[in-house]
Amino acid sequence: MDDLINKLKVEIIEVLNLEDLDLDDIETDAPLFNEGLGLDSIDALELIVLMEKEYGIKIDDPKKGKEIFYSVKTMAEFITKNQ
Amino acid sequence: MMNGFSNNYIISRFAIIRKGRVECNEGVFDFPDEDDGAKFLKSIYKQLKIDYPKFYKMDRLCKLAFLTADYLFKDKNLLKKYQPEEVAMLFANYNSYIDIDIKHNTSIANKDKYFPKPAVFVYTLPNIMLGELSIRHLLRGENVFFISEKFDTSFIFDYTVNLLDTTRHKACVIGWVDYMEKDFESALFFIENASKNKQGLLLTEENLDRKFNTFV
Amino acid sequence: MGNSYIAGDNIITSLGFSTIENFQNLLKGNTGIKVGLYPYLYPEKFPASLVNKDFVRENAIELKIDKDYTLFEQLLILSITDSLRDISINVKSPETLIILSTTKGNIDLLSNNPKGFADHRVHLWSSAYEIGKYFKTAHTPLVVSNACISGVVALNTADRLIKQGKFENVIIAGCDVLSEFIVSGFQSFLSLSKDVCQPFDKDRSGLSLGEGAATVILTSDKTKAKKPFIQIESGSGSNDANHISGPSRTGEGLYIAINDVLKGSKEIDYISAHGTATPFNDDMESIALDRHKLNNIPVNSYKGYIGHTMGAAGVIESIFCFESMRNNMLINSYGFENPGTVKEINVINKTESAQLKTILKTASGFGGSNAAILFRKMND
Repeated sequence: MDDLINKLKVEIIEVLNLEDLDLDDIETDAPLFNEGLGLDSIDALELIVLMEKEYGIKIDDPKKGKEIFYSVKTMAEFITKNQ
Repeated sequence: MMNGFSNNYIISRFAIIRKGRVECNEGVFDFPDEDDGAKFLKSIYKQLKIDYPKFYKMDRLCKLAFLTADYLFKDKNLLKKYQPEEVAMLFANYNSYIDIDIKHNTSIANKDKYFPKPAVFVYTLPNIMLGELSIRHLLRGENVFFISEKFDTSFIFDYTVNLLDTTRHKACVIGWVDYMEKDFESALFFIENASKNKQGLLLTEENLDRKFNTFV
Repeated sequence: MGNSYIAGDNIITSLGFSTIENFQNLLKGNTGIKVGLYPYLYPEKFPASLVNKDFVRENAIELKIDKDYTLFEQLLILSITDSLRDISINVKSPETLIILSTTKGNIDLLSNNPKGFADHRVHLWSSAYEIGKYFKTAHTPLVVSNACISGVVALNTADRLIKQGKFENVIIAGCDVLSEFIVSGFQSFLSLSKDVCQPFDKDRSGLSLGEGAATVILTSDKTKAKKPFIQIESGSGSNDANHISGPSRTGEGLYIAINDVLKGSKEIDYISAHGTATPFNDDMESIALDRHKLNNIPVNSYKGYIGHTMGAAGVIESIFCFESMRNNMLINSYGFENPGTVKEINVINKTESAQLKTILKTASGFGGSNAAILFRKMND
């Protein structure tokens, strides 16, 4: 799980253009949206693209994204469950 | 030389980024790495000591507009005189944003690796830069974006004067922001009533043209 | 300050090649949106409103514009040509200007260029140059590219130029053609509906894309105006300053734009809203209308009939407003069944006659852009 979490952090930084951040700046359990990194709706859509591209998991309903993308941890758990 | 029927307006501030240099009311600033657009924009961002994480999400065209506007609005008192809805933006460019169009097009070219990105697609509209500037500086005036081969000084001058004469707007940002591969240039001008600012260049077609062509 | 009058118009969409043909279909309650597989646009089925390409080809051959112009340019030429028919506006006069309104123009040339057009033809100013050359205009046409509010902005710009006395006539022509480029982009936003879109409805799930072209001819010369006289009263715009792809939750920009054109007046007979049928847009519009206490004014969206035609939308839908005034008919908001916006608004659910004198048209788009324009029918 740790490997997946680190991989996700690297991918999030790249896919969302969080240029000045590195791995250590993203807390595994911290909320990604609203507080924390302050991501927005476009970022949520980009994470949906990431899920499909890197992990082959298709998310059709953007509303489900809220739970899945709550934190890096919930993302990792979702991937582990659905792969 | 006076043009148009009304000339109570001045170009109170300007900011131009071209050929590795920035020129604004405060002077001329040189930046290395002018050949590498991304590095160039990043070094300006760092130099201005801006803390705006969303900067990194922007495509280069918007980054260019954003940075030029930060020079334009270096004088924090400038916008304090106006309500957000009183400041209009009148922009134009040549390329729309062809670089990002190509990027989006490439992402859909391979049917086996078909992953169009919303963060790319949203920037394929040239007026998005107006959105970014509106958010950053809280500008709620009218936006118009034209596509033309050249900066049409005569038309822009006329349109701006008419806008300020006949609508709710009391100030206007005129802009030409263009980016294509290694070529980029941006020129922003803040136009307001002469009574609001004792300093500044009288807004005439000739002055606007001359200012636009600074170190071309 | 003079006045600007409508002298002529044309619409080309899935519903036909003239204003009258299009409006007749609205009266009959026919939608031009069809769910289908359009492989040249997208690998899966989706709803789209597409222009009859065979008909375009036939007409293009007739006008000898089949070889040297793209589909986008052909639609513009056909639309402008039709709008000029039977009216005495001289397109070549220095008193006449053309303004084009489009979001992506010839963008499809990036991946589909069978006629081998030069690279620069992908640029909007290049299309403007070609259109100007075709009609032998005295001035190079202007191009407005302002996301989905382009059409309303172009009309507003034209109105101001006429009232300023810069031109006697301005021809506003809007067009956008669907392409893989555009469809894939909207798909990445997960903003497309699965079936025909349902503006303002509680079950709305997204927008349906459409393509088309439309032309409005504005003139300061009342003797050249079409009867009944329809004027542009005023127009305005405002940016939400909130988010680049999501509308303001308080409808800030739209509120300001409407405020500017109405100036406190509530004497509107009908509102032609943007109504894309995305959850956020329709809610935002209802909020802006509610803030203005316009909840009871009949409102509709035309996007259930012809889809979201992007750069052409503001022009096409404004002409539908003119036709509504000419026929004194309120058109049913196709796709709407049950109210579903956060603020209550009066969505038209039946096509019926009504005295229409003043119409408010609104539009909103990416980049936080919003525009509003007021049309008035004058007595002869």
